[in-house]
Amino acid sequence: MHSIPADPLPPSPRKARPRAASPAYRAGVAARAIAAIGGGYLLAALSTRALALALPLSPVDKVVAATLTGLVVYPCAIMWCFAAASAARAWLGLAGACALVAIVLLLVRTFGGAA
Amino acid sequence: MKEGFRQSMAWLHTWSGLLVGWILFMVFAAGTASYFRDEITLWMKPELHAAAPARVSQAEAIDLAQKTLEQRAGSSRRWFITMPSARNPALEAGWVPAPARGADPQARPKRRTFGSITLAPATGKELGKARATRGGDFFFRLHFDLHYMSALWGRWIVGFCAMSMLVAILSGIVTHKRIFKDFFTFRPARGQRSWLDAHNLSAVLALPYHLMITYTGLVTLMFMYLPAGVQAVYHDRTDAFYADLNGGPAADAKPSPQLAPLAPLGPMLDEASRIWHGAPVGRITVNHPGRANASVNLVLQEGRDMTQHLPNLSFDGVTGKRMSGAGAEGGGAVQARGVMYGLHVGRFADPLLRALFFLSGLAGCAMVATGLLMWAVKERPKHLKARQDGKVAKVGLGLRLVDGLNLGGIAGLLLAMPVLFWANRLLPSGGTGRADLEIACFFTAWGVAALAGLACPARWMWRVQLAIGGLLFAALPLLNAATGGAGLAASLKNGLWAVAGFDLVSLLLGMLLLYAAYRLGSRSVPRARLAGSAA
Repeated sequence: MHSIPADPLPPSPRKARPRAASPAYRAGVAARAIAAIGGGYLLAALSTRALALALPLSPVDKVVAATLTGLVVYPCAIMWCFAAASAARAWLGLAGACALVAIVLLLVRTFGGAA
Repeated sequence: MKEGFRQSMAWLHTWSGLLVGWILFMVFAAGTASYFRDEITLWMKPELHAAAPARVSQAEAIDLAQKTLEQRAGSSRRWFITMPSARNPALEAGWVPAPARGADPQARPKRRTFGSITLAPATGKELGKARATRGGDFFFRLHFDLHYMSALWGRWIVGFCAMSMLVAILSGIVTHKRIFKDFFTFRPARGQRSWLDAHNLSAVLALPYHLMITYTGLVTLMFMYLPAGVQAVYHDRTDAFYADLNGGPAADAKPSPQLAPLAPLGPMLDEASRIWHGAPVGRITVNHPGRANASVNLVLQEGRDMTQHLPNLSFDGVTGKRMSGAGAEGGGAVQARGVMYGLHVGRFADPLLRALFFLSGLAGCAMVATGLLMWAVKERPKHLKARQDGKVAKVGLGLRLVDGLNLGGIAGLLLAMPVLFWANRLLPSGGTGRADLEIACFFTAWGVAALAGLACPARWMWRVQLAIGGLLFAALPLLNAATGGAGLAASLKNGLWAVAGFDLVSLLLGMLLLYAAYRLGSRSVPRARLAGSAA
């Protein structure tokens, strides 16, 4: 018999959970998924828009740099939605981030940005 | 989800990977095959195996092609020409057909209505004797457009799956406690643990590749997925954005009503090649040929530089005078996107690097497949225990569905891919709709395999489907030699590496699948490890 590393398998999240299929749990997962897919996209789109207006670059470079960044914002937002302690917190955090970016976007549009 | 960060990310990793896993496996497999798109196309046209590439100058070849195009597509709005290269000895020309009178000028023609021909560079004649087939382009398009649906829908679905994949990779990295140690860990024949090790190994071994290919894949279509930036800066003028992005002046959207003969393309190619220090021209776009506002855009041949953002030159289509400066402009971001796009399609790679990309793509297929199988392997003991305790009468629907989809999505696809190549050689080479018939054979084989897998997700079904796929793959070199292609002996002797490589890789893949089928039957494999064995 070969020696087996002492480290066991990472604990399955299902074991830690009381009962996986309770309606409240399912509703929580659904709420997180909606926040992640819809809200995450909104945050990515808002950030892209704000960056595209704010970056001090040529028009085409601004757009490309902003869109490249938006593609990273989206998965990070999705991960946040599932890492948050509760579905309500996921929604709140995402709404807060969207509001923050929207304010930046408004400021950039009002004051003309760096361009 | 009251657990810690790592547990919630493990949960996210499982579900973001599982739910889109079967489409991802197909996207990975088709994308991996697309690295050898030109070689697959050549293999699927055995009539061309004997033709040695003729050596003619680019200017001579384009003059002959121009004559053919003026006859065939004189009223078209736009021509696209791809010059012969080391990987594809033929000259490819395509055109957007003239829009029907009274049609909405904004409506873009569908992809299916594009015209295209393949020409012999030395004669300008259409290579009519090759059979009608989509060749490697089928896998290339399947990779991001899917099939039997509009390309737009396909791209959104694939984009959704790719974003899910990016989330799965990122959360998978976060979940990992000992990423370096796992690199050297493989414990075979230990059931669930072996699947975990295989998943870790295929994922970690090529992790930079997986991250790169997923992100850059999204980058290739990012202005469609995330148009917010373009809208913010360019508003409705998307063609101005693309003109800025790709270099060269924006082509007039509408053809001038005035007619004017198109200037010869040959001298333009000569001038471009001089400016690029003798490097050849790759792609040529002619806007509004035969009209007073015609313009010609030449792009440097790819394969010399890693970026897909290649230098290009524009010419007035009537006078033949050069219009723009020495090619691509744009700052760091545009260059970065060009490099990422280039990395994804990998056309810059020499044969060795291309082979490494191919191997990494196979590792990606293995990562997705082992991840899918692991879900079923982890789930099964719980179901068995519940059944023993008398709580439920039979295995749950979710597990059964995943078992069936795994069989149809993995073994079924591996069976359907060689069926395409068999259909390519066994269907009569004449007749209308032949290219679509080949593809119909592919999807029929896949559909039958998937239905059989869903109906009976058992170990013997895995063995049967893997064995059929393995036999079909392994026999492709024989089929090639028997149906008019250059057999292995001939292709190796004549240095026809594209065809020989296809045969050898098929043989290897076939042996691998046959070995997998054999291993599934051997007694040393613990039964718990196998999907469906106890179901």
